[in-house]
Amino acid sequence: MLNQWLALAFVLLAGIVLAIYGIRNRNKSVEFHKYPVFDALSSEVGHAAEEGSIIHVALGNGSLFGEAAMTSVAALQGLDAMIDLAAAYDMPPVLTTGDPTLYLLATDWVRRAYARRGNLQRFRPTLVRFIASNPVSYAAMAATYMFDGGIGSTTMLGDYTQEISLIVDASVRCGIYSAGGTTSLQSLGALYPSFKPDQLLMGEELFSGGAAVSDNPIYKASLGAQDFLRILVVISILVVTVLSSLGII
Amino acid sequence: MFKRVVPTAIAVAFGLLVLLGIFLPVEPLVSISNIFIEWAMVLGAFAFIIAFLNLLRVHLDRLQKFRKGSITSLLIVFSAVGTAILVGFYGPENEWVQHIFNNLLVPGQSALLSITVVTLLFSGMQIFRNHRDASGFLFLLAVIIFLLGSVPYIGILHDFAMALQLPATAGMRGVLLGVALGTVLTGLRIIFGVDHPHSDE
Repeated sequence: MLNQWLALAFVLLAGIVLAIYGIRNRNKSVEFHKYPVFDALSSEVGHAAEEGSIIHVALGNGSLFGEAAMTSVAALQGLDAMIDLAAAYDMPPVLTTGDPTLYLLATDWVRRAYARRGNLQRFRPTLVRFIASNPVSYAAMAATYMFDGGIGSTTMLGDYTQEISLIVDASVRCGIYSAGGTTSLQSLGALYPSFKPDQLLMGEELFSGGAAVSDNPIYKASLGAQDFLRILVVISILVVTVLSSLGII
Repeated sequence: MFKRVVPTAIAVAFGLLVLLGIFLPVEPLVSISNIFIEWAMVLGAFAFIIAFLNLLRVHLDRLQKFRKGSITSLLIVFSAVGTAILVGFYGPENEWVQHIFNNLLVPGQSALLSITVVTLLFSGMQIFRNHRDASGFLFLLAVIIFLLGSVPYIGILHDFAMALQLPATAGMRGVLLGVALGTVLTGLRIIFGVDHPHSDE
């Protein structure tokens, strides 16, 4: 029960910190670390338009019912500007997913981007594809898309495990530019050797997508709150370590 | 009103009640939270049906255009529809359904997993192409020590690999801590109603 109370207290504190940062930065332009992966996403639309190729976005298997739900939401937020631009020029990316609930959210996301641009009649339901619910089957099938041809670049954002290496390997063999980010340790181990630092988002960096591609101050407030809470957690760990070493707790 | 306020209000109310039901296990919060989670599961089942139809649509589309990969699409449509009919008529416990699962699906998954081992090895071999610095060297060194250290007869390397697990665990926890904070704040943005992934308004 104590753990639950502590968790609730932490969530409440996080909420208060987020509100304070949100109010404080309401009208301010806050600078934060830029990640080249998000900057490159929009230029990929230009490349795709020039080459007549397709942008493939692999969203992984993060179900909206599971622990990875927020990872999937953050991935879609990071892709927002790119999807918007692609909808405006009708150069739609092909989004693939291995989870039915994420498939529904992603379809709605792309449809809304077309609607915002007044281009809804050009939206096609097959732009978002559910491939397979099993992570390995999903990755294997997504990899075969590269060999079918027509794909100009692949972006992997979302929840994966080590099976992501199947997609990365296929993109390397086909000479397709790829970049991505994920929150799971197994997939980071697979991505790290294959990607240059400017192609990779590690762990929490994935959550900065909204702030990178949108002007909404709440995303920047969220990053500020995240930094503050991280410092707080580190201090708490140090205090608990010292106290337990002294035998006080 | 219906496009802006109602979806956000529903999301905020449901999110708060489920969250409170998890943190404060007292009645009626737990029952309400469980009911909402059950509703979500039912919706999830419908999501599966829609996703299945999307799978068929995508591959039938590819078959119609008859381009590269059409044979794969034909196989996928055939196996998806066949399995759905079989499970629909006879249930998941049926002998034939179990036969498909044990003799086709399981070996297929195992084969794919073994390919993953090879692709992971190829990924690892690219380390110096993408990281020509100390981090690349450290990565390779750690991999070699862990691999050799897992052989029980190489005593000193085994001990060294065990010792290396300490900084590795610290690093992993650091990454997971950052992810947890990102998850909490993304969730809070949705629960506060300031971020609505379900609508544009």
